[in-house]
Amino acid sequence: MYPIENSGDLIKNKRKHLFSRAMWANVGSNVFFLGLTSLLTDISSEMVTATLPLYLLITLRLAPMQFGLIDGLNQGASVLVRIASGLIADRWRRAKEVAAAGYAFSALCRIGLLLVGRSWLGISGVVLLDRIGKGIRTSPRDAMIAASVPSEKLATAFGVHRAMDTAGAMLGPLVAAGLLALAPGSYDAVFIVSFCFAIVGVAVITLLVEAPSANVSKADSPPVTSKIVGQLLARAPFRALVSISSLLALTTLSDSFIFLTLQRKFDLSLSLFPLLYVGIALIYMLLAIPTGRLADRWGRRRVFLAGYGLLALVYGLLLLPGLPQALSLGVLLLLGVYYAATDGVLAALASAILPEEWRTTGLAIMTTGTGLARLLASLGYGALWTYLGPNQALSLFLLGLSITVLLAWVFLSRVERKADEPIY
Amino acid sequence: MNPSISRQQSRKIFAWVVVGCIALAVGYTSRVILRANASTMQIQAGSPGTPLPIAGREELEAIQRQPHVVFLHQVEPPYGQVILAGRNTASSQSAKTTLSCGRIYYAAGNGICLNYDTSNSDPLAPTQVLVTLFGSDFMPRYQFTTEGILSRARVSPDGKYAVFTVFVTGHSYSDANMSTATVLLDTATGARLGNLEEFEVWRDGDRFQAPEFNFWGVTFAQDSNRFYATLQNGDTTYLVQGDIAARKLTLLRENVECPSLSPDGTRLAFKKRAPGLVHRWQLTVLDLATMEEIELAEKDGIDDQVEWLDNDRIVYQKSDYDPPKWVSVFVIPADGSGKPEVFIPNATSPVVVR
Repeated sequence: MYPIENSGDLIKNKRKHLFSRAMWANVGSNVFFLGLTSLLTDISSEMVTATLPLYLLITLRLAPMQFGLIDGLNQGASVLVRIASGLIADRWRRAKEVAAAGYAFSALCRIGLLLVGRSWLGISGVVLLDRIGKGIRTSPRDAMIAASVPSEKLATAFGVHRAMDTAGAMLGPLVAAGLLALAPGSYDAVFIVSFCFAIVGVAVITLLVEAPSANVSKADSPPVTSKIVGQLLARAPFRALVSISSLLALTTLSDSFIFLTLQRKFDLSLSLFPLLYVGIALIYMLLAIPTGRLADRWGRRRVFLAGYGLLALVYGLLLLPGLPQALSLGVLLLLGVYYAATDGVLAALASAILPEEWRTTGLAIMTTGTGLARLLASLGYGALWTYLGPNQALSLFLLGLSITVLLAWVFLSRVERKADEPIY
Repeated sequence: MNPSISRQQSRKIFAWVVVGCIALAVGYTSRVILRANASTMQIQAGSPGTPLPIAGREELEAIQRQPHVVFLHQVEPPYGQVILAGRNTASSQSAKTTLSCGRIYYAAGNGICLNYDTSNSDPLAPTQVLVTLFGSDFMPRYQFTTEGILSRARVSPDGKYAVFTVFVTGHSYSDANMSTATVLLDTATGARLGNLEEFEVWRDGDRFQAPEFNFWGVTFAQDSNRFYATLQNGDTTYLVQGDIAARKLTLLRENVECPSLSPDGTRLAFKKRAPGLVHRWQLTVLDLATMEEIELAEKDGIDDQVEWLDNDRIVYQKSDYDPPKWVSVFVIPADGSGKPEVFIPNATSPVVVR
């Protein structure tokens, strides 16, 4: 029993309890601190992303064309390290250390930008290392979020994390703009302050986040090797989820394609593009927690597939002729809700069916699948547009997405029926 | 959490890290703000060296009567002042104009100047390019701004058309990839005659369509209606031949960027993307009759739309990233022989006026 020494303690404890319930959507301090790490790291990285092109152009006088073409390579590198970091984190039960290393890696890249100066190879290298850092940390961090809450609160926890993450992404460019307004042209100050945010982010994860205690003792679990990838995919519920999320990603247009279509359809000014991103991020941030809660109560599969239903609705709206311009705002709203209903919820769906000791690897496999599928979707959409025309390409994607959503519903229900228990 | 450190200890360490980071951020930013104020004072106090005085009308006309070159002065700030000089640079006269540019072209009494609009003070807003059309007096005739990052400029041999290329940020479907806008102007009225993206593109007799085309580096033929340019679709660049009257473009060949037609109209000098991870362009000359390519003796990668000095030599800007003289105009034979030599030190955007 816990004897209460005096009434002061009782009140203090009660207040603490209330505070945590209200502030952290009842998901515990660990999820909040993981969210805080992401928030700080996103402020740091978006400060640099927003200002790097201008820094290259105005301070270093380098041509901007050369920059974008290395991007594909970076994406590839990030995919490769994902599974490796997952295996390492699971093998040695070191999700926290691996994630912290990924965050630290990216933090050092901010200083790196100042050190490499005008060297192209140096700048490309730093950007590549930053992406590798992101690839290392994502899966172990999501596995830690999953391990920090009971299974019935998974989607809410991911919602809290994604809301904080998105808030950071929106704050970053503002911080950079503020600094450049104070001291015009001082990109070095932007990089240094960005480094400081990143370091505080690393400090939060290493010093404040608690490594979730494993429910499985080391002796009970089989050693984790690279064979695990095959063994995980041999499990029907996980295989079904990976296939379905990848298929859905294969019929998902990237934001830039949607904006390009939106811009042509409604004849929007190009200077509105950054605002479109901010608009979507804002809706995503506001709705991430409510949709997470909804998913935990009403069913994650329902919310997840409903989100993709909304995406199909967006395609449909873009295909309708003669829409009023005000409806472009509706498209933005739908896209924001789609993100809120799918991104964190998919992580929750996967975390719920993955055994805890292999969770990081499992999450890495899933994000690798969806990442590759998204890349293929962009390439495929470009090709379809070239050979068939814009409306035909979009119609095909709408058809593909609608069929996949229906198939996904039937398929996931069947897996559930076979297992004879609610899974998703 | 590391079991050897208690929760209280780690919170203490965390507090110190936060204090340290805030101190670094605030300290560095204040230093930078002080430094920025100091450097503005220095510029106001006057820049070193004896600047060339601004030329009068007679001086300009005297140079314009002989074969001459126009280029941008890059010796000291303010960078980019337009200079006219006799073709034989070292000994002959030169004259500085009031115009300042980041890129310039001039032909038959008509010029185009691209510069950044510095009145825009919002650091994160897209940069504004100030496009100026001017006449033989080098005084602005028409001016407008357009969003982007300045790149190439050309005027047709008869002076009727001007064309410029800017990079438009956030225009492309691939986020990190910036895309271009290449716009044709009427020099007499300053009217916008269209973006090359509005022209019809044909490949092997069929219409060629794609989500996004990018165009850059227009060079005009002697008749001033026909032109060559670069078209990019995905990762591939093509040489296209254009017809202004028909508003039509025809694909000719792959991997040709920033073409520049020789005065006799027989060859195109261009930058050819060399294979490899890091972007490097090899200066190359394409014979339009035989479609044979000759690599020039410039071994450094060059990112410029070159200019023909005469039918045998080309001039181009090359930066050595060495701050005291970070960019100069070089000359090299167009047949693959010889080696690059400095033509005009500390200068960019050379224009040979014929």
